Amino acid sequence: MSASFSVFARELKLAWSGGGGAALPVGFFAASASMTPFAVGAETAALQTAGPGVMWIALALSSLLPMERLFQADLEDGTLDAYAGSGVGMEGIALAKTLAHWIATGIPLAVLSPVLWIMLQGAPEQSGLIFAASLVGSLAFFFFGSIGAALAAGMRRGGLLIALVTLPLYVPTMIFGAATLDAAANGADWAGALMLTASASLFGIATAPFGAAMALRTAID
Amino acid sequence: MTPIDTNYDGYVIWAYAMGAAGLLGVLAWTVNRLANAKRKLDEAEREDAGGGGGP
Amino acid sequence: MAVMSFFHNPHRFMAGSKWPAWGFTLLGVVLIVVGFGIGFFRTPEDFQQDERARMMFVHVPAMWLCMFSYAFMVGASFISFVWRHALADVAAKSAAPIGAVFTAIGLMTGSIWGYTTWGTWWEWGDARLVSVLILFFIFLGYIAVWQAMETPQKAARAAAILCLVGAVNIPIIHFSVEWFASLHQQSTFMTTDNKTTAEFKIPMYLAALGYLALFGGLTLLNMRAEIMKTRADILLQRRQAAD
Repeated sequence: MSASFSVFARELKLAWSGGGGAALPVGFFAASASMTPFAVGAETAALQTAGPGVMWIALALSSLLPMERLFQADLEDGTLDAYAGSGVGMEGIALAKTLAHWIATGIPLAVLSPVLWIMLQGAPEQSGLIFAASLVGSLAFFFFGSIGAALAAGMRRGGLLIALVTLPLYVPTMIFGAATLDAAANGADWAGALMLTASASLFGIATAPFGAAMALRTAID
Repeated sequence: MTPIDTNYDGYVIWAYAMGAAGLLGVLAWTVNRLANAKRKLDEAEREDAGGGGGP
Repeated sequence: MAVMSFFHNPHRFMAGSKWPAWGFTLLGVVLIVVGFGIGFFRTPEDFQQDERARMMFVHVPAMWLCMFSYAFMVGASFISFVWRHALADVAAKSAAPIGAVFTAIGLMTGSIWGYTTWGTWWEWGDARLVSVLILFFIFLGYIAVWQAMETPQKAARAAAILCLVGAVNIPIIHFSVEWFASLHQQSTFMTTDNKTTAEFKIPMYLAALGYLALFGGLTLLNMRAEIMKTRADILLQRRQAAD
């Protein structure tokens, strides 16, 4: 138990400090959401209609950004091989890494999302809900993304392949999460959609480490 | 929604054209791939048999 | 060594597949030509004045085969993953571009049919349409993985994982789109009309069998090409190592 915890602690420290961790994805999230008024028009009505969906897309794409580095560095310098022999199990490694990156980057994204929501003329009372939805959604995006990251690990310029592989996996989370935000914007009942988003996240957490582990074992062969 | 046009011939032709183009295309691509592979293999085998261990 | 086992295994395949490969391809072409011919030149009165239905002979078999080819790839990927059978890798890799083409034909012809029926070229609320679109992207991603990986062995493993993950994903997507549609009351695109008359069934089944035969033949031909290329590469490698 202590072995996996020390792995997790190391990953957390690396994810937080390495290259300013969350700075790029958070910046990208803010920038892309800020472009919405230029694209759909600055009228409140237009922003309230298009805003939730655009924000969710931006969250998904921002979550995709850290994926390229999720396993790359450790694969290249042999740490992954060391992990493989350590007895923790590749699934545990994948889980630890993804969770650590989510804590370092996903939570900041979720913290920013109510700010962007208000900027896009969303109702401020919904901020708590938006934060919760983004927390849950980013979890799903990070874990499904880890499968793509593992498949593309060891490839130079793997980013494109990660996106191509991961976007189909994102579709259910996109649908449920955007529906949650949409319901919040229209004052409708968001609970069902949020439940479905959460179940997508749980499914991701439960299954993605296995898929990622299979791909990682191939990569270190 | 009501259909826009009662003359469907154009659309039907397009559909068949796309189907035919796609199928013929993948057929041609496959045959081309096969021809290239055969040529490459023949070259490799010829050199293997003829060249032996020489430089 | 993986290279040697691959070298010995496909001999029997190459010997046995030549006639079936070309035979199925030819059979497929003939059946499709006949099926399309009957389907296209029928007069509209034969199916209750529904001229548009003639498109179905191109569209429906394409959709069937797109599902079938992906199922084929899933089976081959599973065998490859569990038993590490090199021929299974080749089979899955060979089937992918053909499946992608069938999917593209199905999507495009479906879009045309939808326009003539509903006036829109696409309908996001239709779970089947959207699932097939995502399936198309998965095909492309699968092909990309083969191109992108450094060694064929790594590519085979990664591609197999992707194929299996995709198989799990498609039903989930189908469900989530249906849920989305129920929320927004979108209409479904593809209605299953009453197409049970014999005149309709004959060209449909001819075309479907033709597509199936063509898939089989082209997959076998692509496998042969793949194996020939691998053998050529091995010979070149051996010669370079000997020099």
